[in-house]
Amino acid sequence: MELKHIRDYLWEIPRHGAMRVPGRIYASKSMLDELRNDPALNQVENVACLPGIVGYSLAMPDIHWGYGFPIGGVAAIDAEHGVISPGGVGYDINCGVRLVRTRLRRADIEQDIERLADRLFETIPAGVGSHGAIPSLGITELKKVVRDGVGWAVANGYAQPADVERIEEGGRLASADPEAVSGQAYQRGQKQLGTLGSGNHFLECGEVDQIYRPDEAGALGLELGQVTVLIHTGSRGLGHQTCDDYLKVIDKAADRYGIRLPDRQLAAAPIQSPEGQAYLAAMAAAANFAWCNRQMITHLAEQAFMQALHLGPRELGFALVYDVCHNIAKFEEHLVDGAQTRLCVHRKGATRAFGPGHPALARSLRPLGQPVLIPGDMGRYSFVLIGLEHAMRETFGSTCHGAGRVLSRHQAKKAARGRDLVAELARAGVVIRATSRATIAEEMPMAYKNVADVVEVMEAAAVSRKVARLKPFAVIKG
Amino acid sequence: MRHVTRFFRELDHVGDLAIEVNARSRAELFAHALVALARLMVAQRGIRTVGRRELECAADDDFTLMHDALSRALNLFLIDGFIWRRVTVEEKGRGLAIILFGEQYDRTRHELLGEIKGVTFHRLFVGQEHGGWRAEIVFDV
Repeated sequence: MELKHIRDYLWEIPRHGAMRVPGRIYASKSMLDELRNDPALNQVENVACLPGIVGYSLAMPDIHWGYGFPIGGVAAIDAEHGVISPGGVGYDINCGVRLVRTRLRRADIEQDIERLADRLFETIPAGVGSHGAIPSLGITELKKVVRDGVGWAVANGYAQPADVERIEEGGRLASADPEAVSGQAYQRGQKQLGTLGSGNHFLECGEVDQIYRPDEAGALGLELGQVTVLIHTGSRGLGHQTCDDYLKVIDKAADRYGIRLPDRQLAAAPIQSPEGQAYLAAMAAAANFAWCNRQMITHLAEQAFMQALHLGPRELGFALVYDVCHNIAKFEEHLVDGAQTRLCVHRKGATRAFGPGHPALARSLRPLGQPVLIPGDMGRYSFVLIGLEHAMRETFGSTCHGAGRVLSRHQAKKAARGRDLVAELARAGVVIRATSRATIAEEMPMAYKNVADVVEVMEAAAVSRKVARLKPFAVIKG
Repeated sequence: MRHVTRFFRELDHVGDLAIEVNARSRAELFAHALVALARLMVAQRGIRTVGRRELECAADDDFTLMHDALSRALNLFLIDGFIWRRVTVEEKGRGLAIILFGEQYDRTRHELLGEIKGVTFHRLFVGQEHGGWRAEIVFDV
């Protein structure tokens, strides 16, 4: 594959064959060397063939192979004449991350960490078979959740109205249609509101251990030594079922509309077609469920902190810093060839990173730019970044989303044989609670790239920059 | 590659969970794939075959049939909490008549091995090879 060096940390796959635009990859030289024979680069080429794609088929430094689209891929598609592809969103619709700050300092709770981890693990249902600590909702109520997103949590006393402006899109896509979601998807979601899920999903208590930009950190209420809570989860079974339901619909529609693509998993339908509109309405509903799910987990985490540490809400000071999604397709305005154009931006394993002044940001965040939350592996650290103006010109306001795996799950399990990972993490200052030892093995730190390398690339490319680093000390996993 | 059993083995896949399934016949291939799915989620010891669930599946091609049969069985576990240890599959016209033998999942008695969230079309293969039948399936985890 021909790869042109554009400048430091940016490489281009020149347009050829059926590609409608070139591909562009943000990576260091060493990352690129590892990627050269990776099928994820072919997926960048394939995405470039989608009807209506503008600019570039983009790949972030945490790129790896996904279904149709690579994970870490961004594709901006003309909203009037282009297509929507469920593969460009993924199974876990609106998988995302939120960060909560507290008034606590790590040093003050050193003796209580084990108890806190136990309480969080008991309070927040995690893996398969777990039911929400929130009472199981009937279908009528669940339809309100997928229609209103975090608005449902506010209306039912699980969130403050002020939380809404600290969530991407205000925690709700208005285009959601509850009737576009299947009965089976509702059945899967019915007992899962306020549940974490398994795999790479987690709740992580951390400490702000490094501040890179004091002004920006201060504006976000972050300071050294402060205890934070990072929550990574998505739309659970409801989102998975919705993706599965519509993959078939869109696959058939692609044939009907004569959309020929190099990979069947890229199946796409015109955005303006009935099938495209139905998928978008269902995807928005699943996205709203995911935002509400992260909100409910926040509520449960607050209860667990108060019980474990015998604190009241004021002393604890739980406050949402921000909530981002990294698997979604949304309509946004961007400059294309000098003209403001409405685009459907697919971000799959990529995070919105709007720069300062963007009207989509709440007034309080507008001078700053959008906070971006990048989780790392459970043994090292996670990052808080801020979106930069340059991102609007280069990446449709997008940046990376995480560390990216380097070991398959069973390679990780093999590497974990004979090791006591719980004890190893404890020695590194991390208490872990998980429903299965297999999950701990699969998610061991060495299974992931060093997330610091990933965020450095995006900073060097002037797309986003580091504000603070969070060091985990207690991790809850499904 | 590891975890070789008589009828399925785990394959390398960075993001998710991939398996290869082998069998002597088409019906047996589907039965093996369904048992493999259960074995990846819950340790088989301790699962009693005191209950049964019946599924009828039909599709235009074996790829879709495999995807649909596994997805429906997965939802039996994810929605109804039914886990199985033994499966029978009979050809029925262009489709299949499937019976899963098992019981209700009980967190206090059964050992959970991992959560499977979906059956994908990613790299999905179902076909005849070397006089037998073979499938490759990737699960979203």
